Amino acid sequence: MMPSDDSNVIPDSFTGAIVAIEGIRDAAVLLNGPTGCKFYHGAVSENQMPRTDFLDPLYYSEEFYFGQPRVPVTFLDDYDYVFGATDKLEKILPVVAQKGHGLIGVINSPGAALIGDDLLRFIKNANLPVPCIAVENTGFSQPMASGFQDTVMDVLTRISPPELPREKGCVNLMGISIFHHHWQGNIAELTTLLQACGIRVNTTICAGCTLAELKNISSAQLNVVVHAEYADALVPFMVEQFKMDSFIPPDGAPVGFKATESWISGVCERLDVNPAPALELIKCARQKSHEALNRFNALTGLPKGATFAVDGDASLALPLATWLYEYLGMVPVSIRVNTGLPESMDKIESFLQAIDCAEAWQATMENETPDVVFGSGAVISRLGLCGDPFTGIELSLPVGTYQHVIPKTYMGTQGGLYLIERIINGLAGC
Amino acid sequence: MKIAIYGKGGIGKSTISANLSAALAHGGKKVLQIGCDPKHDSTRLLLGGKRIVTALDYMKNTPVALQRLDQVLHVGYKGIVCAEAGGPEPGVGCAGRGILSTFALFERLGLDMDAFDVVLYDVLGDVVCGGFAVPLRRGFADIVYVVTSEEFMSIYAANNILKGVKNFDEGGHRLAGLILNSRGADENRYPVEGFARNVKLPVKQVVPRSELFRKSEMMEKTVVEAFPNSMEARAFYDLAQDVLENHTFYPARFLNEDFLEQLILQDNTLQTEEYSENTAPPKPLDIDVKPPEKSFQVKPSSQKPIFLSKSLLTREPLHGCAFSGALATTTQIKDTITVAHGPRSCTNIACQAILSAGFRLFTRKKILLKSQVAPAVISSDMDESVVIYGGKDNLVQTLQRAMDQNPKAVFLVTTCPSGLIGDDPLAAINEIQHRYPNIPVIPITSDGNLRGDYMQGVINACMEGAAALMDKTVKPESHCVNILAEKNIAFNAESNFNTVVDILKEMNIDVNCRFVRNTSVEQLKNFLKAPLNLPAYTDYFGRLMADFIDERWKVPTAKHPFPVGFSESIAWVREIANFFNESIAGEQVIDTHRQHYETMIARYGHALKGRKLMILTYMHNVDWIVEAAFDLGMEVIKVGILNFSQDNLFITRYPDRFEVETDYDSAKRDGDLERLKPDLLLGNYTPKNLPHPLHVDIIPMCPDVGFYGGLAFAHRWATLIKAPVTEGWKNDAL
Repeated sequence: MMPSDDSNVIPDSFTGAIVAIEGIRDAAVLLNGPTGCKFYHGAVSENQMPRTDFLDPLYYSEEFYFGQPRVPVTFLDDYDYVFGATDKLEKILPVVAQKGHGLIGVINSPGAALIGDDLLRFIKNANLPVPCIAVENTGFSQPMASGFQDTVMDVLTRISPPELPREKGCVNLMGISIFHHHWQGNIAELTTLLQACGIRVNTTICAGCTLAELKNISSAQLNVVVHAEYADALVPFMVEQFKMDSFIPPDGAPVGFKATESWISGVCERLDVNPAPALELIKCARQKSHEALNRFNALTGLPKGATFAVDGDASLALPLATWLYEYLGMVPVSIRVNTGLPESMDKIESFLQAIDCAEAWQATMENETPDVVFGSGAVISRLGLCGDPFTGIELSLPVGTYQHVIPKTYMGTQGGLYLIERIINGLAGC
Repeated sequence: MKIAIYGKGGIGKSTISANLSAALAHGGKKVLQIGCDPKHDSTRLLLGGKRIVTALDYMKNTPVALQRLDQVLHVGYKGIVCAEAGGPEPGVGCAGRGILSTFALFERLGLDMDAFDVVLYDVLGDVVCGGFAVPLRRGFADIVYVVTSEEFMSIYAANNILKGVKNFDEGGHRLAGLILNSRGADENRYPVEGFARNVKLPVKQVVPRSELFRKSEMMEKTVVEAFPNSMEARAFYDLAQDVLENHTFYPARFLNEDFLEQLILQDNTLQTEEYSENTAPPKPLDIDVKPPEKSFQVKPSSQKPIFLSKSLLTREPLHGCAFSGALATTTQIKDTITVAHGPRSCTNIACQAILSAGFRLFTRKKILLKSQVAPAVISSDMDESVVIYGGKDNLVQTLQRAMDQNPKAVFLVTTCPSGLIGDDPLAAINEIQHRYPNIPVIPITSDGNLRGDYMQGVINACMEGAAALMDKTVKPESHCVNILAEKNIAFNAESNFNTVVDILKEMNIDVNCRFVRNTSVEQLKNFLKAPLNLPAYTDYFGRLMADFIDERWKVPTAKHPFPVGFSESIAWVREIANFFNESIAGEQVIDTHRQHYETMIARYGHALKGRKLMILTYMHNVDWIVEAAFDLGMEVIKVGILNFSQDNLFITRYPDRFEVETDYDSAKRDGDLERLKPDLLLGNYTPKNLPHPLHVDIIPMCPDVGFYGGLAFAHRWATLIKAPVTEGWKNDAL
């Protein structure tokens, strides 16, 4: 017996807030809450952006760390909820402040948010040498993207980047977090494409950046959005606070050659820069792709007519579904989107209607096992229970136990080729 | 009978409560008064002005194993038993949560409310949150009085309280009436009378304003004690009479605020009754007076056995939360759905842990376990409005979604936020159960980590959840066993189970039920069919489960856990074989494996003979490694045991054959490595910054069971010591 949806493994704004600060290399989250909220986030943060070269719990046996290098916690229990967390907050703040972080984000767990401890008072009284921000309430069951963005805004407000002269041809990447699967590879690929056009990436906001980079945020000419649902609140904020414009890709994240062309062309147009070098890279990738697909198709007729399902955010689902259909000739049987801008969701639904696959919108996969499934490891494992053969390509966390040594990407030219490699081999039964 | 007294803060509830208790006790009744206010001054006048240790302070400062009921109950005037919940200082913490914790403490320590004629709850001010509404829940107060005065704000508060009472009104009315704590004979009583008339509640007693109250307080006594023959005391005797003899209760009705304001503030003077002070001396209640008790005597039978995790007992920091542990357990029962009442983040975090185990099981053992990749959980996704306004409706809707899938049972597990706001799961369960009487809805004590750590959640899910499904009429049959205390997060739990099943089959024994892993409602129902339980582990949890089942159903548990290594396997097989009179089959099993074991010893022994082994681990039983090492001719020089939340009892069959040190840490390690110079260091993680290069290997927290236990590592160790001591890549760190 299972519920008809798997929404029990979708993180919410609490996780979004934590990964925003943990996404800054020289910042750290201090969690005011129970250990139950800490262990998962500590593991995810260290896994997604390793900052240490060892995992010996003996080395992190000190109080508040509980054997993990990230996300120290006040380990609240019943008594602390009743009496307040004064003692533990007073004790933990100087301990974490000694670790050499440039910023500490004190975040309340959902339970701690209810008891109303005044975090700012504790921070002020602690008189720490490190700047701190307090996130007293990350929201309850709100989208992860909103928790992420709210905290990014809190961070930027706190560090108060000065107004700087704009550097021509310089951009910030925005709307991506360390929680996104293959975030490092995606950023590297997008940076390569931008660099090909002479565009420098100043920083990737709260995804592997440093505080110094964030301080320079306003030196960029433009903010370039990767995942729109992770930037819709940031865009007006950047205008208001830093008078910075943003580019929101109309066709979703740069997944697949066409969306990548659209993305890089859009950025270049805004910056008045020639996109030709990047388009040339994409063209080379297309040729490589053609070689591989040609051989495969000649013997199998595939991937045309193979079915697929996508379970993910709209910024990924839209370009991926479009590309799989238009470029590879694959047919959707299920497109499930939990988070996305309304306009992106509408585009997906309209697209499905236009190709006579309207029934695939928010459909479950149990009725028809697709040949290729793009989703989290949870979605793929769940489908595995049906016993039918299919290829699963992990799009988002949680993922299985496979360790990627070479950073992978789904975006840009390398991402397109990687997806083609996975699809071809999957359909071939490898 | 159980009475809750509510009213606006400062209205005189505590004075009224204490005097009422005194009047009842004066009439020979056994009374328990519980103050539910952080100010903890409810019972002061009953105790000669003494301030007592509050339940919450006591809980905070006393180890669980040492907590006793007679330390939080105090005997006062005429044997009245007094308790104070206590709570945080103003401006911090959550006093409402404190009330919940207090009642949980009393329940755990075995306070029998039925042993008293009257239990009286004196509750803080207004019903501002779920916690302060606890006395209104079913099973607590049968009767509610609301105290008010003639003042608008107190009537306003009384109206608010009636709204709160109405939320808990299903199943029968409990309102007995209003108590008017008068501000003076000259006060205009019209507003109160108008209010009472409109909400259709009688004013059961008027307590006159009087200097005697102040004088009694100065004497640190109630008026009943200090001036027993006064008219003021008579008011309380009359109220006590009403409490005892009243059988009429009223539905909670409240007024629209505009109407209330109009009603109270309009200029209309009705004649008020004259309350004469020229009255005959008050008549005490006509009941036998019993001598007071000096101290509260705890009955041995009232002390229920408690099953608490190690961390709770020893007041260690809690690892994980009961919610997560409970969820990980209930999702192991097929054909059921678990409803998780809380924000989505809680369910997400708990399910990630379950999934992680499922992924590892698939990667390492190629087993896809449905309960671990698609746990049957529905989250109520509490949002801000639910947190503020209460989650009952939201919970009922979520339970309905669960029922729509037609499960055989539904479990309800709650989170920190739902516990903190005082959501009463039973109210929601009652509502849904009326619609689905044939599908049991079983709540599991959790409230996030408010009721304990991960292990406590597992314990509660087993005891309250799985055990609730057992059919007590089932009779035991032979040649079948139950399995207890498997570790659901261990990646080899299924393969270990399969190994055990294979051995049992060779002795013609079947597995009846796994408690609780990959099991079903039907199997749990038939739990009592097996005359013997086999524990997967005899760690703290394993021992506790065995004790629980023995205490509840008197089903014995085998002494030996799932065996790891040859000696343990022999002892285990023989114990089970003897129980079921299958000794011959048992010896055949042993003989079959002995030959293979000896072959492995011969193959790897020469490479490892004489090598020195040091072990550094969280595991509290390493005999499976040590046995293999000794059989291979190795020298075990030291075992260092790290502090582990799941166990606290180091045991070995080899005392005096090696150094043992518990509460180990990295400083001790480096010193020992320098001193002892082992050839091979085993641990649960590769250590950092060793004082000198050394062969290191990992041992699993949950080893594979069976005859070959530690010997399964012999091949690896024999190969490992041929490898370079320091691999090249270790020089490439930045």
